[in-house]
Amino acid sequence: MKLVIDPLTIKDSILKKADGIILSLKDFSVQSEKVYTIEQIKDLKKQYPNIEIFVNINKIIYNKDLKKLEKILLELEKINIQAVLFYDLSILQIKKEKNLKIDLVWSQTHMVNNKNTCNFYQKKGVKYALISKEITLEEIKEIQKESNMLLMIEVVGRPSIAFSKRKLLTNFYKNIQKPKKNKLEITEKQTNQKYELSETEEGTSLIRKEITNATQIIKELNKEKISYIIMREYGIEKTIWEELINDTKIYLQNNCQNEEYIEKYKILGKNTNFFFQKTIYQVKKND
Amino acid sequence: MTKIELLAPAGDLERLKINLLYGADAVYIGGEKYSLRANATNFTLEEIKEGTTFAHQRKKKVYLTLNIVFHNEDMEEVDQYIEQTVKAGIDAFIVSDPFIISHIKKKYKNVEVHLSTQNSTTNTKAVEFFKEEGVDRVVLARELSKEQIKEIIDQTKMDIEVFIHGAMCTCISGRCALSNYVTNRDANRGGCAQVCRFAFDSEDGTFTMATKDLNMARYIKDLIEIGVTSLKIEGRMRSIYYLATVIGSYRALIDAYYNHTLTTKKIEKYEKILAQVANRETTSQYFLKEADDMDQYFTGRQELSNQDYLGQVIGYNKEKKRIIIKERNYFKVGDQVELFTPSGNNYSFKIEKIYDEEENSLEIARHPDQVLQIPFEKEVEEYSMMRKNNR
Repeated sequence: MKLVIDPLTIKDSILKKADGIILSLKDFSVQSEKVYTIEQIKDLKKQYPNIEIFVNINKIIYNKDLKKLEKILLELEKINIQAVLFYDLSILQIKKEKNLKIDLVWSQTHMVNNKNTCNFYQKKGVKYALISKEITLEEIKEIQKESNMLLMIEVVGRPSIAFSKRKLLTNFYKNIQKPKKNKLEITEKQTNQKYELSETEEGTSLIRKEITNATQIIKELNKEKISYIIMREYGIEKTIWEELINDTKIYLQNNCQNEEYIEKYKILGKNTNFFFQKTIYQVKKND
Repeated sequence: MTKIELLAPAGDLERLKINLLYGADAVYIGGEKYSLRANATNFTLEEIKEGTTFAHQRKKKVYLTLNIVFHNEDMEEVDQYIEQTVKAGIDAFIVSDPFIISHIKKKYKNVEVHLSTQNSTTNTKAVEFFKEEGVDRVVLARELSKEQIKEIIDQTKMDIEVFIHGAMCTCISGRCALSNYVTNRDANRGGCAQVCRFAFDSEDGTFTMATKDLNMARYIKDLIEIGVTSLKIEGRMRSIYYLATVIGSYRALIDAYYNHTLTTKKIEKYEKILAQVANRETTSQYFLKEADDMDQYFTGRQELSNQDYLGQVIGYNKEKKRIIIKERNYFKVGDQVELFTPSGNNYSFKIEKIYDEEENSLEIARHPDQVLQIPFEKEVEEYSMMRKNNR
């Protein structure tokens, strides 16, 4: 099982421990703390030829973006990156039309939830699937067993919750007549859950403040032969982050035998997200 | 010239009939499974059959939503369910999952597949992807402008459906799991708890992001002229009065366009009628500009209850020349009211007398669901409605 990271800073010591890195493309990604230009991605590929680079393109794509998107995909094909994480189907369509030799990751945030659709995309030439954060470990295991995709599971990080095209912070500060901030923490009153809103030209992202810490399931994911786990830095203290990546690499190399690893990273909190908690959707019976 | 389709939401059989009688060309419904309104009443297979028969007799159509984001367990019986609902006469499925799309298209040649707005389709290439998968119609994302919609239609020649009326999500459809995290209810499997309408605390005061509703009455002409195929009303859980009013109004506006009688005065008249059943303020959202602070609320929930609806006509007493109505809200002798009918007629009058079922003369009607009779010279159709005359 390989370790893919989404760091806030590019550091030699960290990159040497990771197998892969997620780089969100500037002007073409949302819900990302750090973005990179094509030139920066090219430089990183030169600097770290052995690391698998996954380029994240997940903004809403409009017709006005299509020409540039096509150009970008052609450039990425030349760089020999590992794959493009895609949200919008225009990317798959362009790959098909242009016969691009570029691998793709089905990465539609909350929609990557079942084995059949994984297999559908696999037949369309998509190689990887970044599984939604809203399904259980058991569901993931079933997908792994019955699909031909290489699965990526986010085990540590602040989950993205929602994205709006609306400029929610611009609107809010205009209404209260205060200078605009590009980030705001909000608290849901009943649950006391905290969320962070951040606004860019593309719209407003909501992410949960509390970190998902599923380090305890890495062993099981490894046993199930899941291809990749993902860890995201945003929200984690820098020194803990560096140790986490270092220790996770060792943990994976030792076939997840070291129980102290699990104990140590309880420091990241108890929130295991939906790995062990099934969501409900029917709250009353038809009558 | 093919007339644009008016597509209405039906939460149950009664709503389906009301919608079609009031002028919808098609209705979309949810079955007991796989619909994004898991907590609406929803249709049994028998009801679907009755609904499609009712619609087909009138040369109208019924579409079934299968637009949840599927989990493994949802796939187990979906094949059988699709087969049963095809047999029950469904004309099209509204689907978001591409696996389900390809499954239906391979197996059933005579049923259409419409791509759900849950996919938030916003560009030509994405439409082309689904066109090549056999999708017959795409329901575009609600975040597109007039020019963007037109460009997609011009470049793809695809049948395009857009929302014209009803509630809006704050976030992009399919890109929101707020309900999952805050309430454990799965937004993308029909359990959305509308968390975007909650008020949140922040260091800068109460934060809200709830949107105003969509109302495109003023832009029906534009939507027809840019080549949209279908105009969709939101709200499978709305009341029959709301549906009758909204569908009747849009029917009148669409017909007026094709009859060359659509005037500003007529648009204003129907905007006023629509405003009477609205429980929130309305705007055209993204159609002319980016949605901004004028398109949302800053003070938490803003729903208003509506008591203009006075009763539903359930029959006519020919002998005594009285309409028979089932009361919904308080009214009294002397009130100015208006009857509106499925065929689009409106009658204003003053209530002179009210009788109960025992022929007692009443001054006031104050018991919802009570069956009452009101003298009215002309026989009006069943499912006509009586409302306050505020105009």
